Amino acid sequence: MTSILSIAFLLALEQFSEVNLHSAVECPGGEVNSALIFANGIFNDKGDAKNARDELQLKTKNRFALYDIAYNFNETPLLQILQVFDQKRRSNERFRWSYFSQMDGPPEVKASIQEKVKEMTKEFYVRDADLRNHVALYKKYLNAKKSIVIVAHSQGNFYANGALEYLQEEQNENTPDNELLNARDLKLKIVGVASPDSYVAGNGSYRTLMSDGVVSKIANALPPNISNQKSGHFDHLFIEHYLNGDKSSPEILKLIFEASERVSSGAGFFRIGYLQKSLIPMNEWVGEWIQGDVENQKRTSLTRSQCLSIQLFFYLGDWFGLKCEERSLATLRRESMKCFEKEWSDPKQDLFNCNLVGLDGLIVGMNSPTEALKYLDDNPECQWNSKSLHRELTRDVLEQALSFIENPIGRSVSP
Amino acid sequence: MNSPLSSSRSRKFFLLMGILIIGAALFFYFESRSTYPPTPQSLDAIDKDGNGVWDDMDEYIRSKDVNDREKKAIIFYVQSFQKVLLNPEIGFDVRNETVRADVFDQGFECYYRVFGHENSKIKDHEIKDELLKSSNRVKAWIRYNQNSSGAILHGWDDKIQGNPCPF
Repeated sequence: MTSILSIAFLLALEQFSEVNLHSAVECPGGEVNSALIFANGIFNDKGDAKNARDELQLKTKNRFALYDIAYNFNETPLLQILQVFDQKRRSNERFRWSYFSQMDGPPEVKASIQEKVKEMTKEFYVRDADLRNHVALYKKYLNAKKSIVIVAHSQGNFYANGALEYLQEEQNENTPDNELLNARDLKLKIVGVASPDSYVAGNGSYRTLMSDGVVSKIANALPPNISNQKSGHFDHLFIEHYLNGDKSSPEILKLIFEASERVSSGAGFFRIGYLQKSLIPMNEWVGEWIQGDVENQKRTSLTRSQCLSIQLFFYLGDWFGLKCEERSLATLRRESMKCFEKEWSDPKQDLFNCNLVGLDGLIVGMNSPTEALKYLDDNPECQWNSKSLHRELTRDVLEQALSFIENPIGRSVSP
Repeated sequence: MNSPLSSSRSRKFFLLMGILIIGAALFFYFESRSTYPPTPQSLDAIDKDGNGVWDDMDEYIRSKDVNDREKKAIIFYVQSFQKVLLNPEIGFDVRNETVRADVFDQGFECYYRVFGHENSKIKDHEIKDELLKSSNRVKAWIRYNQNSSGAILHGWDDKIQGNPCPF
């Protein structure tokens, strides 16, 4: 018997990992609470930048909460080129000092080098009004608990790197008015495209085409790391050559989604990308409930309907094969009502195929089946048997549980 | 080993290049300012029939095989473009966050609402190329973009901004 259960358990786990794999491809991840910001390259007018942003929105299937552009367009064409060279020179110098500051050495020397890096970072910020505007936006989003993925093309990489480094400096200074900047990790990642810079700040990733005729002419630029089957004229344009390239396009999208996973807050019980948007508040509530219990080292008692809501919610883990769009409140409502009408409300019924409340002892949770069970096992009010199920699980209780799932925020757990 | 002669030649070369680059930069810099601010005359903004579309663009629009709604979207886009060419200072409005989107943003948004981004019959840059066929118009367009530099360009939000198309 034990071995049969073990096999069943392993099969469940195997299916579960398939779900995760599936969700990584199909489901939105951290991007549901993230802003995707395009930092444009040289000679992009507003129309070009907007087209690039719209193309990103199409390719990422509108999964991000926001799509903005951190726009830059400076001076006349020739002066724009000179500006790029100046940015490149200053960026290289800063990067060199930054590199030295990581090396071992006498503390006073390290401190003075770090001071130099800090000065240079601030100098970028003070000198460039556009950069200051971009930083203000990023701060606004970070303070509103939004994470950010910047897709920077060409010259936009200097702006993105400058902004991230400035924010990191502020974070190190522990400025009291920036709650989220003071968080351990800055929720901002850069995906560099055709970067003329020699690094991507914050350990971001990048893609540059082997055939990029602009970046290849820039000394110390990041080395090219991808090539498309077809190459075009100069191969430097964001939409035409990068976002529509047969190899570069999926690679850039992959980096964007990876970056969004890395900056997502991770709040909640299930991975953020596993659920449809309608269930994200409940996911966060369950995450906080569990967290609170861990911190208090005792279980908070729940009402029967709250219990039921958590159990129904955990049931989501059992939806193998369904796309995230279908793992929604509407489906949960439909499925639980079906169970209610077919089995739970029938007093003669003593064999339950609907395992939404764990009657068969196997509630398949998302993080792991045993983990989900563990939380519910510690709460005796969450235990059901066939008698209590028929007696207590009324339509009203089920409705209450579903409405709690719909809007759990602001509702405290009853003592 | 380099001879003193060749090193002196390369110094001269770099000096000459430097002077050329700086000279060209200064030329473009002042050249871009010389015709500022644009005027209807300098932009050849003639609208004899008073329909709000410059005459050269009227002809262009007539030549396009589009339905009525698409035609309205093109006209609205052209009109919004004309406004920022005549008054590039509009670029400061979004830059300074006094508005969420300016007239150009609205025209652009409306255009793609009607045509769509995928397989649209006419891309916005074709109209842009048609509009920017004189150097003064190009300069006005650059000026507008310069004034917008540093701006955060938000996506259009129907809930806040309503339908971008006024027709």
